Amino acid sequence: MTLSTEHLPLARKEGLLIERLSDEVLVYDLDRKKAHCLNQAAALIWDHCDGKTRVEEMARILQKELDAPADEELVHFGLREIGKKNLLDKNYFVEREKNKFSRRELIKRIGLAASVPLVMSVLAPKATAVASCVKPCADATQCSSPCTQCVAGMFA
Amino acid sequence: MKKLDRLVWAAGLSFNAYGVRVGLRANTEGAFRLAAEYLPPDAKPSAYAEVERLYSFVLGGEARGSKLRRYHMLYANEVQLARTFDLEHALRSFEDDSQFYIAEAAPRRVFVHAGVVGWRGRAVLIPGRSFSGKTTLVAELVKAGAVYYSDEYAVLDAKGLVHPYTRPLGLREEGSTKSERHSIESLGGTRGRRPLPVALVVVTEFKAGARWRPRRMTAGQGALALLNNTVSIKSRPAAAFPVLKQAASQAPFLKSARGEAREVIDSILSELEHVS
Repeated sequence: MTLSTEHLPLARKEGLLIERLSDEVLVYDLDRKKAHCLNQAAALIWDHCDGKTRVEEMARILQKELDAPADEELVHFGLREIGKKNLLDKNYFVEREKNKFSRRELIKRIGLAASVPLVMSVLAPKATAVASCVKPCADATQCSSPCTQCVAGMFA
Repeated sequence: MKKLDRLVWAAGLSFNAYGVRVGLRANTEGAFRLAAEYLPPDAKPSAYAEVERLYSFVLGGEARGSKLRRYHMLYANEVQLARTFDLEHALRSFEDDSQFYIAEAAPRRVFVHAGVVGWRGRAVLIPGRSFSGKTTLVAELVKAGAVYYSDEYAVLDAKGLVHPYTRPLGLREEGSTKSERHSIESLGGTRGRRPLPVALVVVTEFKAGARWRPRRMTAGQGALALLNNTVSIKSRPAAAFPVLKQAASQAPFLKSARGEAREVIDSILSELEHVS
């Protein structure tokens, strides 16, 4: 997989809530109701997706900031990860033909898992999924908010 | 609603809990006293007649001199929540629904489904879904000397402080899904009164025979664990998201499956000694 040279990577700005922790970045996608946590490497790449910074330059920044080996492959991998989560501008085009390194191969190459870009995601739960139901029930027809099913004589 | 309004209501109350105005009315004084036992934590009588949600409770049962049994009925605004001969079911429906409504609607608080105890002026959060063993762990920590804050919701403010939500503990008997309400005092514990900063978050779930092997989560991973248990994240993400980040950035997170609750208490308390 390679990236188009026509457009430089640009981070998506619309419809996101962004919170910064010391090394990581938390992103909440208002459209998809998903939260993401970008580790330090992914956050560095995403921060430099300004439509001006080239991949080679990102690799240099990564190497300096993480004090670990980083090359263009690592940045491409990070861009793919970030792109998969819809955190890049939709006009940024990712070619999908030439597949390169997997996360595991990159960790083997670099020798440091923390330096490999990682984006963890969680789908926002339904409000009813995070409430305890403590009352007894006979069958599902008795279910009412916030309980949705009747399991072994108790609402769940 | 008009049909309900035409019924005779013997007693009623307007109350405020965590900034949400709720009303309760009942068809007899006795019914009102019964339902009032199930008011949400922190419910304070309010002078406002206008409420966001009105619960109407009709106590049924057998009428004097008649063999007819009438249903116990519960409504939230005009929506019927319960129509049952089982009084406990009707009252628990009121309890569940009012607590849940307040958790989602509270304007200045974020409710995370979690057990909470206080330890030397700081809070331990145990986020998790139903049946993950939160209440059991909370009860064991209380027996070990922790102050009870909640077995249902960690109530967070904008500074990331945890407020008490001291409803009775819903302890389930072993091998049963049925829970019994226990006051914290009956377990020899005390309830927290003031908001606390978060000292530790324990992301855990009971699995029979599991070994406790805690590993640290990063603050970002921890924030996702809290978010995954936040009631209002879908409805009010802009309010909830910064609060979760705030809470996540002030405390370490531990994650592990666990076996019996008493087997992990020492490890949690020892971790607290390090972070205090």
